[in-house]
Amino acid sequence: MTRPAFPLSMKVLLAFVIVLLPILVVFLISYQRTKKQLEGFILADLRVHADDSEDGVLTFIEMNRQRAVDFASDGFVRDGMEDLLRGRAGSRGLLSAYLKKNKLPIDAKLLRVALIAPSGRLAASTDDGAPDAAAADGAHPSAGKDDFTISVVRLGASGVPELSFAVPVRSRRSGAYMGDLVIFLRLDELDVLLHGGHGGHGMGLGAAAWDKIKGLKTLDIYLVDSDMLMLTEARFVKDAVLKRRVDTVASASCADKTAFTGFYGNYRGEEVAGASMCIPSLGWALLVEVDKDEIMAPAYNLKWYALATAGITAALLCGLYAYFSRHVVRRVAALTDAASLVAGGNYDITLPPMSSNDEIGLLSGTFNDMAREIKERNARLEETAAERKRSEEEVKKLNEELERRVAARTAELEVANKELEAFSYSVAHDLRSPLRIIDGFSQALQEDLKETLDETALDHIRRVRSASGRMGLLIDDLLELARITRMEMRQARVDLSTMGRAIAGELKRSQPERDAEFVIEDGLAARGDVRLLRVALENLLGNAWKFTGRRKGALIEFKAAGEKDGRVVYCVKDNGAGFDMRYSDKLFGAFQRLHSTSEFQGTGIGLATVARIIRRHGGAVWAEGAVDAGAAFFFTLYPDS
Amino acid sequence: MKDKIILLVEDNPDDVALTLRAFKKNNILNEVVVARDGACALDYLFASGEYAGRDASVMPQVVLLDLKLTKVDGLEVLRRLRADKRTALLPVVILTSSKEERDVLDGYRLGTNSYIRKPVDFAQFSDAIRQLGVYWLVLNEAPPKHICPGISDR
Repeated sequence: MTRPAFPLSMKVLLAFVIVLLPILVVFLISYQRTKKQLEGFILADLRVHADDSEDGVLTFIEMNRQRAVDFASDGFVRDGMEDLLRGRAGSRGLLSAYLKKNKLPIDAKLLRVALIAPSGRLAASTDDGAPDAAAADGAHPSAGKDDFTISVVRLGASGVPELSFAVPVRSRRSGAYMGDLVIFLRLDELDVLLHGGHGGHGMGLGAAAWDKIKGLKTLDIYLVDSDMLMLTEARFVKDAVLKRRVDTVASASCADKTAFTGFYGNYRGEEVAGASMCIPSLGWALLVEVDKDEIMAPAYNLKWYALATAGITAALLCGLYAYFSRHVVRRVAALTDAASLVAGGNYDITLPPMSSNDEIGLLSGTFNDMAREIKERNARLEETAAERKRSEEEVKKLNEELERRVAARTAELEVANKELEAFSYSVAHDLRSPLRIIDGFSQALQEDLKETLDETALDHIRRVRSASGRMGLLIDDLLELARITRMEMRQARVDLSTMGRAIAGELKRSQPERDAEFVIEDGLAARGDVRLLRVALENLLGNAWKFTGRRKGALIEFKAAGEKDGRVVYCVKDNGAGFDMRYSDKLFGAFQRLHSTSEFQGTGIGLATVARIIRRHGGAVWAEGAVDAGAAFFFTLYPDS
Repeated sequence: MKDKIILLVEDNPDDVALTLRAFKKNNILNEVVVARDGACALDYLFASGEYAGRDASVMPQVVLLDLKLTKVDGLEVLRRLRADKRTALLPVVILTSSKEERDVLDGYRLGTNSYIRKPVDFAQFSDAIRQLGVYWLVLNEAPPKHICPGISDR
């Protein structure tokens, strides 16, 4: 079987690759686009969340500031503070008791409320046991400014880090600065704010955004102060508050007071998506971070889906290809092989019955039908051929039989011909010799006994000699007739006019005294054997010459006389003795004579010879004439092709 | 002229008589040796057999050869004469009653010098003999009798 230069299986494979490639490209592009979109959404969400969280933080701060301001504007507190500064003893205790009784219970989150003199000395406090110095050290007084001051107390009186809010206290009368009112809260209130608290009581700040992404496992929200120390607990580090330094792109961005959103490595060195919000008044930064791995999981999943889809598609295509190769290509190959075998002359091929009902199955069926049909036709053809061969052999046999017969017949004829030739030869030689002896000795008698023999005897001798002479002529003419009959024909163009003139000249020379004229037409020509045609013409002109022997003004013509059956009719005509038309059928027979020898010499062979020559030239000869009115001999030859 | 021998090869005594008569009538008085058959003619010419001891150097002036002969026919005689260097150039005239084209052709092919058909009419025959005598005995110059041995034996 010849292998195709570009097999079907390769084409199918190529088609599959062509189909698969755009799918893969589309997958890749959509993956990239989806990833980009997802990143955009994520970052936007993170920013929103960071924004919400910041709002929460700001609200928290503002609320506590308001509370501090509210406390500081209390008349009793202001008056008590004035008294205290004037040195009235007992005010401190009254103030502390007042604060403890009227202010501290307002909010359970308040650790304590303290009043600090401008000197920095603790004036009053709700926590009597707290060391004054320590309380004063932890807070940063407002120093008479209208603004308030937030401070982080590393280790407060309560034993944990604290957050202090200090606002100025002013005299009711003069409005002069009299010190600060400071409220203390646990620092981890911020954690509660950001994470919903340790106790699980959510503040409800930024709840909407929170809900959106709170399901994320790696979501991290924390505050960093201006020293980049963590202010709240982070999800992945414990006991980090005011200890863990966070130096990332996002936390550093607040040094420039700009928010940041993007992907970066966080404090754990983990790649995260993050957003930062700055609280410029405090120098803090709020950070919201999610591990990239988690947040991008849908995109990564998509990638896997894409790869899986591509893999499945490729596997399916491979399967299809395998199926195609196995079932289609093999079957086509089997068909091709079978077709080659059929082309090679093996018609016994039958493809295994294909159960499949597709085109190839149909083709196989049709092929089987075709092979069977060819086989049958071939059988019929062979039968026909065999029949033909048989008949050919029969014909051949018959031909051989015929040829054998012809050969036998030819051999017989050749034998007969040989015998005839031998006969002719002996006639020529054996018959003439005795004649010559007869004539010779008759003349010897004539000469030697001229004196002694009487006239009658001499006359007898003359008759003997005359008869022997005629017999010699007869023999010669007979031999001539036989010779002409068996002479081999040599075809050539013959100029009959020239030939006729030559014969006429010879005749005239033989009897120059005769009054005779030959009229011979120019341009008479024919195809034939020049020797035979000359013999025929010699006989015809010779006859005319002979039979005009007694006529004065003899006229002998040789001419063309029209056509018969498309052939030229030649005519030799004389105005001599002529003949009786009643006997015209005897003219051309051997030894047939219409005139006596005494009238005209002749053996009666001449016209028979002419007839034989004309017949051998495929022509016809006939004569017209009347007694004493001349004769006309007509003949035709081969059609002049 | 009279010492020139004529060899007549003819098996028919009647023909011999008529031929001799024709010679005589025409005053041809040369010696005529008659061989009655082909073998006899060859014996004479090659001085063998019946003619052993004949002077082989004496050759006839002309051989008149009939074709239809007993024992060895005329054409065979001619063939043998032409094959032998002694008689290769000997003038031979075929004198026969046959006018067969085949005989004429064979005669010339084998090297006859002339071919004459005997006419039935004795007067014509006699005239032919006369002309033959004049030509071959008088006019015709015969080839040299002795061929140079130096050349012939080579």
